[in-house]
Amino acid sequence: MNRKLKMKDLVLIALLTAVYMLLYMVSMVVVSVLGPFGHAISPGICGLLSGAVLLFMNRRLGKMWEYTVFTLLVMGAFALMGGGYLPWLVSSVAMAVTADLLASGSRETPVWRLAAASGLLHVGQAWGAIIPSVFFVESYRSHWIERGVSAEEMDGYIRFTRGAMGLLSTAVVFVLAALGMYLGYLILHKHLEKRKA
Amino acid sequence: MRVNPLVVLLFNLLLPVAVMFPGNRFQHLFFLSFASFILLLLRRGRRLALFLCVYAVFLAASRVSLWHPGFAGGFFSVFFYISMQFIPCLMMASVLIGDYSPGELISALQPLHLPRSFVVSLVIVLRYIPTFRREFGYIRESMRLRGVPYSVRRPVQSFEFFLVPQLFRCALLADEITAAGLTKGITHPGRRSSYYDVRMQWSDYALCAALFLGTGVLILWR
Amino acid sequence: MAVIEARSYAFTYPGEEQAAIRDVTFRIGGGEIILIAGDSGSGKSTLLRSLNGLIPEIAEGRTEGGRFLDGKDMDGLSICEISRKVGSVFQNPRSQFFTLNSTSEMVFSMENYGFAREEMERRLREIERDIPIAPLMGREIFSLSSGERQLLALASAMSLGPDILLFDEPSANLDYRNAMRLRRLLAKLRSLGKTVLVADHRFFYLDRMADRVFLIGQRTLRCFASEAAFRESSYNTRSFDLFGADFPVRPRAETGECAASMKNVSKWQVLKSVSMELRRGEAAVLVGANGAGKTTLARLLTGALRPDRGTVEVPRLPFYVMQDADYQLFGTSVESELEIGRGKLPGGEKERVLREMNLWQYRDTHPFSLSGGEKQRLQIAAAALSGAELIIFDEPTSGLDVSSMERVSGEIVRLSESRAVLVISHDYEFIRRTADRIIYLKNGRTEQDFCLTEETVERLNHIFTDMEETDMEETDES
Repeated sequence: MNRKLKMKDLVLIALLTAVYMLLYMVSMVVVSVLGPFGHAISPGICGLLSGAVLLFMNRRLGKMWEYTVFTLLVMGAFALMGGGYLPWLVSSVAMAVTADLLASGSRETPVWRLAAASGLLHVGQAWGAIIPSVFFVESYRSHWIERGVSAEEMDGYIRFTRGAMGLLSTAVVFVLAALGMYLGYLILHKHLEKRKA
Repeated sequence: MRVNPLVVLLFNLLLPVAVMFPGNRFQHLFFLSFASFILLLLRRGRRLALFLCVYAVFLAASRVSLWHPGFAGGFFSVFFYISMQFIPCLMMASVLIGDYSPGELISALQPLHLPRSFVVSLVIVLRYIPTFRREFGYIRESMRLRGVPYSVRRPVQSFEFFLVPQLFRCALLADEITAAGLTKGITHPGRRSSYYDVRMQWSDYALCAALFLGTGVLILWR
Repeated sequence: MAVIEARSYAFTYPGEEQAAIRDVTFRIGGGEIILIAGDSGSGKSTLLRSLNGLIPEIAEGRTEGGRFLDGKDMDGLSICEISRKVGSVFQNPRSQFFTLNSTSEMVFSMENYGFAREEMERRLREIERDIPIAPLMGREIFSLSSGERQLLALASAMSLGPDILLFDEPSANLDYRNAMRLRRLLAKLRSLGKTVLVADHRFFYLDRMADRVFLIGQRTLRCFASEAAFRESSYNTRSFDLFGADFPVRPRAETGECAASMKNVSKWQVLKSVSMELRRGEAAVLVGANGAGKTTLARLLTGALRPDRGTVEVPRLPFYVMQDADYQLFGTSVESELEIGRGKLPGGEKERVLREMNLWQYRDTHPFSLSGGEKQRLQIAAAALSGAELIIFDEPTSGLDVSSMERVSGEIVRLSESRAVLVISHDYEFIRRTADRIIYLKNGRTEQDFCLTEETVERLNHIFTDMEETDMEETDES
């Protein structure tokens, strides 16, 4: 089997990315009920839903750098749609590379490794979302302080928000994405076992 | 009136950066008005109206949740506030996905000197998002007719039937699209021309200048 | 000098021991129409792909022997170079278009090769002289009818000015009217000096048009020097002469209770006061030109659409087999697909139906691994076991070769003995074999609704020619 990514493979990754983006949009809807904490873990919700997509990619291609290319396309799509932060790009791609090193290069990677890979990949995305959230909170805070709300009152609102965006949401994202891979395996594995005679 | 895709891209790259430097109330209004202006230039009045309605809903929601005591209210108002900041980006995203054809985008992005294979792949992502969205509708209809409708009571099965066929279709489509692309010369090295004018016009440069200026001023003057 | 030539060419797919095609030798000059015939899976696509460069570009297999384009060895040509000379029109409407807009699709290839804008305009005007593309320009591809899409695909393939055009099952999704339009286009292409290769199962639209016929069977190629020679061969073909061929006489159907009815139904501008009753024991075939409202009618029966006026009564959920099987396959294997939405079925039942459809050997394979024709047959098997009172088939034989079409016909006839069956079809041979009743939808109304018997076959033939004439009137006006 040819190890390098060919055009057909890139097209497959692109199509799976389109499906992934739709799942991301669904997860945004889910997340909207959870408020800003939800926003911080939205990559985790997406990871929960998209395990099957990443599993399928591995079983069909299993080539090195598939997840990095995938992440670059996701980032590219987000950049075009308004989510293009340099920190996000850097953290996402860095984690995607580790995900590839962990899981790609074979079409038979065990599910636990894929789960960890998905976890890392989505954590990389989450970090990118966390950093700007911190800035927004600043912006929001100064916005209302300008309007006469007292600083202590604002800090009261914000404190939990800021604290939550840190270790806790990273852990939550990792776990959700890993679970997502198991969910993906659950719905997909029987489909992958049968091959044409 | 044409707006070069690069202008839209620039907007979506600048806004997130600008938002990291908060403190100027007018910043958000600037981006919202700029995005609205672009939609008007492209004669997408109805779409603009839709976005503004959504914006109004979020605005109202953020005000309402602030009056709510306790921290649920605070939580939500932060969330709505953040979302509102990004509505202008969504407006521009709708333009990139809906109003430019894949060929235009590939040609327009040439000045960025990204690898052709990456640009083509990215354009495929954008091209198929709306198509897949429509196809999920067909799958849902099929599920209903086969007697396995979407059901909250059987979420895993519903999810499986909904998603798995689409994944397999992607594999089939990949072969077909690659074949179509190759026979249309998509791997031809050398410069790609465009039937549509994708060079930056003076109007595009003016818009970019306005963007840079506005962003810069609003960041510095806080 | 031959335009295309092959010398003892063979191709083996990776992982296979046997070659997919071998000992392929031929020479083709300019201004010829060649029909490539052969059963599904025989190697027609492999041959076409060998000629447009997709093999070996995406196929990763092993080639032997030589292929020559204008005297040059194709092994030494890149696919970009080949695509300048060889244009391809694929059969799959959903993925042969790279863009979503017809104009941008037509210029896409030219843009890839860096043509200047004036050159693109010039070529578009040149194409317009030969093919009526003006009504197609600037439209959403999604909104085009299948005939229009075919035309768009052809115009796009011609934009680079190739000398050779390859068509892969072009009539699969075309109704009679559009297939005859294609016939006229192919004649036009030949008169322009182009070399045209058409791989297809159905050839009525090529009646007396093919200069030569290549038959692919048992992995090798047999060249017939003329269409007449081919017709005389022993190959079981679909008919060239649709209306003159012999068909078995169907016994008169005994109809039972009513499974579905529509009274004075109107929908959008498409259907205007349609009434009909569908009864058990009868296979009714709905015919009409593309856009006449057949799919709309079917969707009203399934409950996907509500009528604007009138009533639709379908007491139980019908089974609807859509044209594109890919939206309807949910199982992990062919066998388990039959049980979707049904729970466990007795093994004997499943075996009988799968054997009927020639799918028993695939019972453990994944539905998506099947070919297009096999997927269609799987859908029909699922319909047979579904227990629904009304079964609706939307173009069940598009793209099927003779033997598959006959199997499908047989199964539908069997189904119609106990249920009500409605088939939307434009496949004349299939209709003659299967229909008890013909419903002709025109201008939003059921213009004709009659039982198909020996006496009324003429009426069916008139319907087909009526559809062709309407089209010719329209094109005369434009």
